Amino acid sequence: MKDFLKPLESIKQVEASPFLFIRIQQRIQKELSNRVPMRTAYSMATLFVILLSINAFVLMQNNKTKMEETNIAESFQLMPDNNLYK
Amino acid sequence: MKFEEIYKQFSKLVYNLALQYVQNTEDAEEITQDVFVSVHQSLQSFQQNSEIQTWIYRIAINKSLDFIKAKNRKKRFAFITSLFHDDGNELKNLGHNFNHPGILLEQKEALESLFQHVNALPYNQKTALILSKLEQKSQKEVAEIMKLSIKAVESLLQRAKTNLAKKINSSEGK
Repeated sequence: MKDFLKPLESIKQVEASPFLFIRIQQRIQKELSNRVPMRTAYSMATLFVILLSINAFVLMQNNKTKMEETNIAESFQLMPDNNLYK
Repeated sequence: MKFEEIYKQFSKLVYNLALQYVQNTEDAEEITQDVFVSVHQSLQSFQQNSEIQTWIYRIAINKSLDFIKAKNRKKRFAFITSLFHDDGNELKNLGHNFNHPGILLEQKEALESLFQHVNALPYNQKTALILSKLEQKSQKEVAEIMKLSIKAVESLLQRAKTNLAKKINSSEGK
């Protein structure tokens, strides 16, 4: 071993503060109270997915109806708007 | 194994390892807290594939490195903001405060200078050096903790020593 690392051998092991465990327990309690239960998180996620699917479904249905309306207007040669001076 | 038992058995190990990384009692206590909160969170998912001591060593190393990286980020940010606002207090507070209770007073100066060089090493070289020279772990144990091969650890230690020697020589003006 190189000599310049020799002083490292003189470092002694020390004890942590006796109050450290209490502080750790307090932090654990705080984190536990802040944490959202997995069940709640899963139900929120499921609800979000359902809402998203309903939105997508409604949007798709809306587009379909619009397309059908345009097709009908074209087949009867109807004017799509009321502008007579086009 | 109960959490309290784990704390009793390994708190000294974690605290001293954190001290070797940050050389400051306040920071080492903060890291120790982070480690045991993490141990508490993942105790149920701990699989007995590796020894509990190796597992705790890995958590302690990761938390120490995360702490150092976060502190360095804060320092950089404080430096940039100090360029625009003339308030050097924040930068001063983030400066390195060498306070290692395991070091004898007569050795303090020499070790403070040595740790300055150790702190400038790349993280994996620093970890290998701390585990091998300060924690007195064998190369096999270091390899297991760092999830590396023994050859890789050997090479890391060699590079760490070479880099340290270069840094020390250049600071002494040789």
